[in-house]
Amino acid sequence: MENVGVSKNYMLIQKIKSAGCFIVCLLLAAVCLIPLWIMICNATHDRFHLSTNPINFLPGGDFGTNYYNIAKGEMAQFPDFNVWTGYINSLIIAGCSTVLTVFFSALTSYGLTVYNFKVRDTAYTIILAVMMIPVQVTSTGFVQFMVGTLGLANSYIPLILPAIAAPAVVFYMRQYMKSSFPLDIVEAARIDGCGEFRTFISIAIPMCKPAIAVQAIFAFVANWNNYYTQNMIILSNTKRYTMPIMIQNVLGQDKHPDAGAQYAAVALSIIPIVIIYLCLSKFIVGGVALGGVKE
Amino acid sequence: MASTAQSRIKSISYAKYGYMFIAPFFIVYAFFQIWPLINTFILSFYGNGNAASDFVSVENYQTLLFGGGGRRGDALHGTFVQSFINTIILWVGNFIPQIFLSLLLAVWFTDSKLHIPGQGAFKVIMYLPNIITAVSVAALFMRFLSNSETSAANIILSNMGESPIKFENNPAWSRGIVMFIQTWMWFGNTMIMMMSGILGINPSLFEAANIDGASSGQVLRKITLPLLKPMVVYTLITSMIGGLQMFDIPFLYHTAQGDIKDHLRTVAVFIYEQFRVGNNVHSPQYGIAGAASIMLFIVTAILGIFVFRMNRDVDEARKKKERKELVKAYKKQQKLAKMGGIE
Amino acid sequence: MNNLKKTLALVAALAMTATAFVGCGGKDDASTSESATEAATTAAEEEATEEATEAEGEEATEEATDAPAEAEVPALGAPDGTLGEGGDALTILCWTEDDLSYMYDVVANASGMDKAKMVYKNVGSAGGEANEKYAQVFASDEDVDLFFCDADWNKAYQNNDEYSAPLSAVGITEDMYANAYDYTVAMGKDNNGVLKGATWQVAAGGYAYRTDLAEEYLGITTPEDMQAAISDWDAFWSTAATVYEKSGNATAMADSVDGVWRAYSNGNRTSAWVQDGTITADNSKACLGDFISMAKTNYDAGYISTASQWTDDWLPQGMSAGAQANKTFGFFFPTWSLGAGSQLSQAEGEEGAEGSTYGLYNIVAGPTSWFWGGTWICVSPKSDNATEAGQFIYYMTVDTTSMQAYVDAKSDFVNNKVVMANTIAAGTNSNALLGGQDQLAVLADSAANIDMSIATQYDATINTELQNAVKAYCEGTIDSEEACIDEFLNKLSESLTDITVE
Repeated sequence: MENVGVSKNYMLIQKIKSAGCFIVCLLLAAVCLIPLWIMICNATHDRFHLSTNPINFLPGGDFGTNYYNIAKGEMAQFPDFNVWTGYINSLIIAGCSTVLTVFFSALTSYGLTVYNFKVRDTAYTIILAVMMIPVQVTSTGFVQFMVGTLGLANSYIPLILPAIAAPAVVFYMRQYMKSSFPLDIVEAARIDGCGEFRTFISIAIPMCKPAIAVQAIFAFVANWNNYYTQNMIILSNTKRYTMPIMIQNVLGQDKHPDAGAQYAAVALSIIPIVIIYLCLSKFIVGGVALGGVKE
Repeated sequence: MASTAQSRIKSISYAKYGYMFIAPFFIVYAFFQIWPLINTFILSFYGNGNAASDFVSVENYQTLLFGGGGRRGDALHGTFVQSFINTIILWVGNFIPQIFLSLLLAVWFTDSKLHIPGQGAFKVIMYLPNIITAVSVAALFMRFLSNSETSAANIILSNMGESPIKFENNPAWSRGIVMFIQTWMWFGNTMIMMMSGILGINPSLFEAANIDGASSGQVLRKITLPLLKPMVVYTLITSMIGGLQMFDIPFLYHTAQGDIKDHLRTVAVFIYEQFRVGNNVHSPQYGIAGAASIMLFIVTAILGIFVFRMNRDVDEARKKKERKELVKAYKKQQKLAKMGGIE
Repeated sequence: MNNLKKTLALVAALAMTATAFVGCGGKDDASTSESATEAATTAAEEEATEEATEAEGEEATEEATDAPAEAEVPALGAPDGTLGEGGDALTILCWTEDDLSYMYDVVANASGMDKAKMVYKNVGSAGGEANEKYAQVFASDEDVDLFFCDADWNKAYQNNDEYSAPLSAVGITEDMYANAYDYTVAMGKDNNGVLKGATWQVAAGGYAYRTDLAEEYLGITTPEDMQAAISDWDAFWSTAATVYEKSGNATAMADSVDGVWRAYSNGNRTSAWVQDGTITADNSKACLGDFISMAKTNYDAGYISTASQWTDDWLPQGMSAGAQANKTFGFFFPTWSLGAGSQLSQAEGEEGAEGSTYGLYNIVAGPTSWFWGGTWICVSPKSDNATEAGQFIYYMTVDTTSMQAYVDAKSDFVNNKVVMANTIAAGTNSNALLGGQDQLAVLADSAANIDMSIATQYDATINTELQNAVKAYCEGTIDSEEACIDEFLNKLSESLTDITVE
């Protein structure tokens, strides 16, 4: 569209500028990646090597030893560490929570967008308000009630069921529906004799797929990483330990620290989520922008 | 006008579905969150530890805000005020570099004249730190920089013959590290928000500027920044809410057991410590924790109202205005008719 | 559509009932904790006076019974029926499972109980935090039969009937402890004098030092000479100066400020922290003695290592390679740190590994006769295995034969004077970690001197806050001794609600 007959000089300046920006971006990307890269490399060196060379940029060959030392050997960091149990438990919690979160959030935001009823605005305001409540504020009451009153220690129910009420996701989905879900479709469906719930399932959900996909990924990551709540509920049943709890146990023992094993454990907790992220990165980066305010 | 009326009639008959659709959310929310919140509010008017059943009215609030009542009151007041100051320092310290970096990058990535190779990859990489759990991030940085002489930085220092540094003890170092970690984790996220803001600006404005021969700097100053202001303000406020609740990194960044440094204790950490004071588990200080929580909630809610205002759809506001005007006009008409009738 | 309605209605109804429960639950909680805490305050007041008188009596008898004759102890009684029977597993709540694998064998052999019946629940945290985790486990309905309590906080559990049952409920009586160290019985009683806990170990403390460094820097080759060189604190620090100088300013004498405090606190302190429900600045100074200035002077001089206990820096100091190589000459360790798999073995590293100091340590009594902690076994009132719980406690803390078996296997210092005297006399205990030395003989005198009459249930908090404040002073973030005490008292006043800090 532009720059017909622009001087060569100008093009050169733009090129130099681009190169400058590229270098800055490269530096920032390096800052993002280097700590993670060092962690992965360190996870493949044993503790003797690490005690004198704490920073490694090249992988070594001791990952097997480190992995063995997490749970076994004379100085096991945490004998109950089992990476597969951790993955499966985290997967169960993150998977179930994700399904509940996206389904019920879509349902709620659909209700708030499509129907016009008395308390709608109030309800929406309440949802926005509860987004502001810090989790620390309610956790006292939450734990007392779940573990004390209902006796749900070590149960996954208090970790999964609250996922139904995810105000931030509702907020996001409502934004999305407002901008890209035409209400006329609902009317058309009604005329065709389609029930309200069926309209939601067979029309609204497919149409909101992009938003649902993005929020599903976020919800999954958030639940996979949630240490705060899990730590308060899963107390003593090591068979139910999730990945973050296993990591904290590896790091928090009164033992002779094995830096290699610790790096290996942290790496094991991060790698699956990073792989999932990289596979789905297009959705995520695009999706964050979707949630922004449109001016 | 007819269509509005029509749709209104229609939606009235469907209102019950609206309630039905949002019911599960509110039931679960009431059960898992609202009840604990109300409980917290009630607890804030009761005593602490063994005196948990005594109604003390606003004493907990008084203690936190003004101190008094012996060593304990003054100590709690001091710690609480310090924790608020820390929260603000830590937030400002991570917000400024974060907004600067993300604005810069967002402008570059959306500038049609710049050709930065591998943009997509950069965006993906810069967002990456945001998906890693805080426990792992804290553990990772603790291995690099901490009080421990076995942390990477201290091993390198001692290999160079220097004496090790207690990174956690020095307020400048430890706050700097926490700010860095926060920025590291969040600048990618903010950058993408900014980009969506810039992409929302009408492209014809940029075209016009181009035709008029404006330089990149001029475009940035005269068009992008002014139009991006709502987005920056939105980010500022959401980040402030997030900042007020800052917990994970300041809480996890310490080597010795229970040794949370005074210059890193945020309000959220303070609350957590009060209701789960390590060895005092049989008499937690629910009163103080509750009062601090409620104060934090009030501050957050005030900021939250701003976000809500900022964020309310322009469209909806206009509709509301129209509806109001319609009602006004109708009333006026009625009045006129009435008056006409009398006359 | 109808289905949806029905489901929603059902959900709503469920939620209603659940909310109703919330209301009730909340009230219940409040009232029970109220009565519990009331009981605790009144009891706490009685405690101090009662224990003080008891302790005086103990000390007098202690010295007389230096070479004890075996007293007859009654056989294990039958449970009194207040607890359940016939549960699947005997569940033991703990924060480290190191000792338990040895205990299973001992108890199974002695009682004929199926070894598979005994299981543990590890709350997976450091000892200090386990206290908090326990409270959560107890709040839930999980099966717990026995639980281990650290000396720093066992009083908090024993004084709460909701968490601990009298040992008489599983057939254990006080007269069974005729051969035990008396302080362990006193610490096992709640404020009303009811026996609630029993311990298998006696936690006398000593100073474990590197024999290779001792020879190199001090020319000392025997534990006797070493003890002579550090017989009191003055001697300890002057030896420290020699070690520091000879090592080229690399090796500290003490492993951590925390370690020095443990030895000083439980060896030289004569006053209880809390008196009449109050901690005063004057009493604190009396409790602290010259500790703060001693710590600061020697820390600055490099005689105390900069590491903190229970951090990644602490134990690797004991090895001869790595980033922390040779940073300390020795550790202040109690008996429970000297067995296989415990702190000493962690400090030495695996045998044959690079920098390993396996077997290069010896232990001496050190500058003061002191003790550190210990673990008491308590019975949960919700136990459903009263008979097995009784057997476990009996064979771990009373029965001479099985306790002897435990000493032979684990080389721990057990709570039975007869077993200890026999083992020391027979000379059968040889600890490979200590190059074959018998630590039991070295620490026997310290064990006989242990007096926990000035312990209070707040000691865990007090120790943590004090250690943090003194370390801050040593590291230079607090300027003066006055400010250090002030900081310590401020932090205490914030976390202790039921006593006054002045």
